Amino acid sequence: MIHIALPKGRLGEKAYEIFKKLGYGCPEIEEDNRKLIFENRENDVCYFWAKPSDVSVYVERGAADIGIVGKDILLEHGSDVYELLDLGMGKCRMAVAGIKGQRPAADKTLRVATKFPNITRNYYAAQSREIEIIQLNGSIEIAPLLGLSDVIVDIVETGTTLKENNLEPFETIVPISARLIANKASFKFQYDKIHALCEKIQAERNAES
Amino acid sequence: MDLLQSLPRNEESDILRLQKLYARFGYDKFRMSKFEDYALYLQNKDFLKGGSIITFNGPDGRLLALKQDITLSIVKNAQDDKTPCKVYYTENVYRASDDANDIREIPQAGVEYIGKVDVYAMSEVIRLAIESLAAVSDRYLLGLSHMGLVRGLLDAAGLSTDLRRQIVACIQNKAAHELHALCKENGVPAAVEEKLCALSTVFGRPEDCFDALSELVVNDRTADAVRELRDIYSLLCETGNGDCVRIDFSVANDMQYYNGITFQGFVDGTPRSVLSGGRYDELLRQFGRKSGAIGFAVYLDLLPYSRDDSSDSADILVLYDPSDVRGLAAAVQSLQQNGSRVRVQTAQSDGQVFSKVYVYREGRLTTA
Repeated sequence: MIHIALPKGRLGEKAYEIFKKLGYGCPEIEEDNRKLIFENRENDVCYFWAKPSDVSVYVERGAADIGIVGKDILLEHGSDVYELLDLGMGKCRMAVAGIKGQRPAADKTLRVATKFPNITRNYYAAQSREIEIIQLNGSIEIAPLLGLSDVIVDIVETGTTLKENNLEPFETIVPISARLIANKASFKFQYDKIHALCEKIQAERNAES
Repeated sequence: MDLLQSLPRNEESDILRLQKLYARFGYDKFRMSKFEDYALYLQNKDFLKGGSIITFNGPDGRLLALKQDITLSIVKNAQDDKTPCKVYYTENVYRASDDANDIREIPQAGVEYIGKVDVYAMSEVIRLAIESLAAVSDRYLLGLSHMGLVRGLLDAAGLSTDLRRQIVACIQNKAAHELHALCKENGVPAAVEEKLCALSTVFGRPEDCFDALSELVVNDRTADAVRELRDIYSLLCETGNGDCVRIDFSVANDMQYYNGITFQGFVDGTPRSVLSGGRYDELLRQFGRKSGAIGFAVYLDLLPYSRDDSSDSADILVLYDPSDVRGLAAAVQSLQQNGSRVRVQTAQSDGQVFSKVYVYREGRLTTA
């Protein structure tokens, strides 16, 4: 049986729809109930919902064989998992943004507010730029408006929130999308099942494009 | 009947099984002190996998470290002799987590072969790796790769060091889509990209993969690598060790130290590799040695031992009153004579489970 960790929210729901379409459906998960783990022996699958940032932890430690996770989470946590497919869903980008028209001067330590300290550190280290990371857990956009930081590093999807708050993206760090990840041991012991699932997803993606 | 086979599976009995296995192949036991010069680890810090070094000052002011790795200590002492150095070890290593809040003692077993490495020597070490997995688990797989094929392909493309490192990371993560994007971004020729992507996705029984690997040959180095994989696999099959082998380049290792065959072992129930090894001639070069070397380590702390510790606890509990102990010792001795494990105490606490509980009173044992 393949154990699948789905991220709670729209991305997980979209991913489940793909699995269902390809013959990995699980009626229990579609019911309005309080169950936490959903199993369908007929299709040989077991699903559970997890906080998006925890999906890679479940997969890395083998509680799930495969999972769906954003590239941002993989880059931030450096998870030791196989990244088998780019699902092309949940597309956005990790970007540096700040107050419109106010690019910070390059001659002083840059104060960066972010939820992604590792991605931020690696990005600026590659540029040999001295920075001060201000780690926040939400509402990152407010930081430059209140003078807490010079810029932010955050996910930008449409850019509407930035625009409405007189902010703009300065640089793109990396494009982000949803990835199908697998536990390194599960992949080997359940190769036939996981490989077949990946082949079907790839074929579906090719057909769509 | 082999007494070792009948022992319950736990860390101690696994160590005995592995020691017996390595000794059966004529490997000598390597013992080392708990301490090593910090400089040895500092000079080879890229070879050490994860975890900070725990340091302290020796009596003469030298900076010492609790041993973090066994291979480096063996290599440091190895000579370029005509006869190979064939050793095994079962030692604890000490590592601090990167935030240094957690210091761990990790049991490791392993084998090192230092000397002239030929196909037989490589197949013997890999056979020992496979039999190590068989000694500690009923269901196991060994992923086999060859750095010669990875390096040969990268050499042929003439790529920068940084790009090579990123490409190897994609192969290790089986991220063919990332590899594709990376090659496009850096103008890697399509023919090379196709071969690298094939390397990242190939997985299966060697006989099913060899044809695909042959198509990746672009120069002498890659041709030698594929030939070596075939030869080693053929020798493994001769001794019935081929079934668990899978060709898998995600087990490719650090290019700075590893130059030939590399492998990782997986057992059912553990989410990561429990065994890791390969050919590391490049490490010996850094110590000024001309010999070749191949070896592996088994990470015993990662093995999936049963959490049921009932096999460690006593079978019989004898409760007694401290004012009435005449004859108690003899009564306990008689219970122990048939091999039972007998625990004697004045009261039974919650959570203690025994198959029998006796009360000793006035010279007699009665069932509680």
